[in-house]
Amino acid sequence: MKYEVTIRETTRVVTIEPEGACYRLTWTETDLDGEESVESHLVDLLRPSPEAFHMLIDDGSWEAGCVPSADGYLVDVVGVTTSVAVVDPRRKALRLGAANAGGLLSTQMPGRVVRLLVALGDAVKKGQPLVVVEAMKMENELKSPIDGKVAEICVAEGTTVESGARLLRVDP
Amino acid sequence: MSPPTLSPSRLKKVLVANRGEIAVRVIRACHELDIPTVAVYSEADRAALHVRNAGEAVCIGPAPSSESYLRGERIIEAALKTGATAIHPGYGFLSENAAFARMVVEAGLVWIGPPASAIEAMGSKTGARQRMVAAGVPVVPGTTHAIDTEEEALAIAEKIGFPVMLKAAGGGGGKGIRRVDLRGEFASAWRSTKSEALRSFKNDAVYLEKFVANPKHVEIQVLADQHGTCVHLFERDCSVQRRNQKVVEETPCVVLPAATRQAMARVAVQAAAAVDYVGAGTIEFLYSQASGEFYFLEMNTRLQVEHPVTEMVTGVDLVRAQLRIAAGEPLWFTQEDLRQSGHAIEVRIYAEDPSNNFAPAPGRIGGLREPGGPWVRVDSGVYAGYEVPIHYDPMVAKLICWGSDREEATTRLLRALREYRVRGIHTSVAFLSAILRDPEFRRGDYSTGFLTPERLAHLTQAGRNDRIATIAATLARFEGDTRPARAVTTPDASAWKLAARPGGAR
Repeated sequence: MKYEVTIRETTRVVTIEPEGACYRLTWTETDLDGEESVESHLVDLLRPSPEAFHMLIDDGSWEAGCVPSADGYLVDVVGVTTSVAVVDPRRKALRLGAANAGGLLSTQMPGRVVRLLVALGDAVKKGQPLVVVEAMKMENELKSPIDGKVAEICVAEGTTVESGARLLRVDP
Repeated sequence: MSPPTLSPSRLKKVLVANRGEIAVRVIRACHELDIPTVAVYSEADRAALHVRNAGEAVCIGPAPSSESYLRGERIIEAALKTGATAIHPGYGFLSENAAFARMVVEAGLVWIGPPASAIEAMGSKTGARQRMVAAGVPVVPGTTHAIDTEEEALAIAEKIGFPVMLKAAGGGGGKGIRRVDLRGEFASAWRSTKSEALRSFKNDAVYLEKFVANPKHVEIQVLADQHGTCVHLFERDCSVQRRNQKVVEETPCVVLPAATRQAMARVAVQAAAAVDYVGAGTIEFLYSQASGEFYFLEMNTRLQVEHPVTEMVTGVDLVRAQLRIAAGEPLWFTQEDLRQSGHAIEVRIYAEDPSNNFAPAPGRIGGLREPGGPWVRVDSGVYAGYEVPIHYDPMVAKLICWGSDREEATTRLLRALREYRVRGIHTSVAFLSAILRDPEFRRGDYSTGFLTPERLAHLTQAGRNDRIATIAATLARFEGDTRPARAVTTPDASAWKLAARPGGAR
């Protein structure tokens, strides 16, 4: 089985097959100079609980937590939590094309819209604060990603928003 | 220094007017003294740990703290309803609200904190400055009064010289403070400080101070009883700060000369005496390593987040001391009894994503394993399965380690952080480890400017292991796709698998 595994901007195509009571994972790693090398690891997996992954990887003892998220898993390894997207290439075609050009503004955290600083149709400059979202006592000004006109406002002052929620759109 | 038995007369039952780890901490101290406890909680906090740990719990309103934890009248009502005879405010929320302290006393309840008059005297930062100047305590150059207009403020800023700090007179906890480096940034900083002050503290009074370059933030813990005795419990170095919020705290401060420590402690006790202080309090100073001078910053008239490090090196349970003092008992030790033994360091664990500009990361904790072992203390407000709410401060726990010296405390804390597992949300655990490994932190002469943008960029990348994350996520997905029934592994299945491994069980 093959998966496209993405961490930040790097996607690795990982092949996974059972091998005895273990799993064999193989992928091609590209370093900063563009040099390619093959990674191949034999993994003995033990799951003491659904989210706890104890792995003997080529005899190294590793523990990770894997909690499902919207498009993959939140994986924690020795204190660092990393968002890992895992896509089955066969199903990729079915995915909704979420690519939204340029001027879409969304939140990276759940919170509450405290202030809208612009109105529909306003001309805005790149970097201009458009909306203030409060989460956990901190106010965050979200700025326009591009120069343009406010084409759509999806929230009102006081609206509670989820992580990734679309707030407004600026058209060039 | 074991204290005599607490007379139960005035503290029959204590209501804890707070949430999170500090509420849990106070409840623990009460239960050790066999005092029954009452928790209060908002509608968002039904599942919170402090509610689970308390003897009784009363819901006091909707999720926003302005409609629950800041509603003094509802809290007093809850105390009267449950037969609580005293209220402990924790830190934050109403802990430094003089009007609330007064309401508590007027309702016939014991306020486990300083008198309202002392809170008032220190609560207005400008008033506190004036008072400290009068008492001969050194303060940072600046205004001792709130400034009315932007023009006036700018004139003062230019007179004492940039950079300056704009501060909300009613503020605290690092909120409502802005550094202004240049004249051109002044107008916008002035406006935002004022509006943030009004929003956060319902008071838009702002004053300004000279920005002291590369200072250390050193504070002195004091305890005063109702019989005129006031002692200090030495210093804490809280110089590792991000956006004026403390991240790592330790005691002793390794670069503080003994004579300066003594002078600072003496001034702290004087400052407390100047406002007839009672209870636990902290006097914060800026300490210039270059000049050896120190300046009064403010007094926190409450228990501090970082109080455990003081407890670890002095052996004094500060919350227990607060309870005893509130019950009217004299301090059971003298200044001469107090010693700093060894070294203690605390790190604050936040639900935030260091690699995404420390964005708050509320959510469900899918799994949790806290560290253990000798001289490791976890003051936590969460548990596995708990949903960290969006409404409150993102600090989920504090990890404190003691060592016979600083090196031992540091390496023990690093080991404990390595053991810490918080699943399903982003946390600052690896970032904190990276701080403890930093050579400048290890030297101990770091200042409040330690976390520069460059250092932050470096420290927030630390500890990433994309290879292991890739392997784990792929395994999770593959098992989910091919063996849905095994998504939850039973103990039997893993035992079977263990036995079936090549080479047998290990």
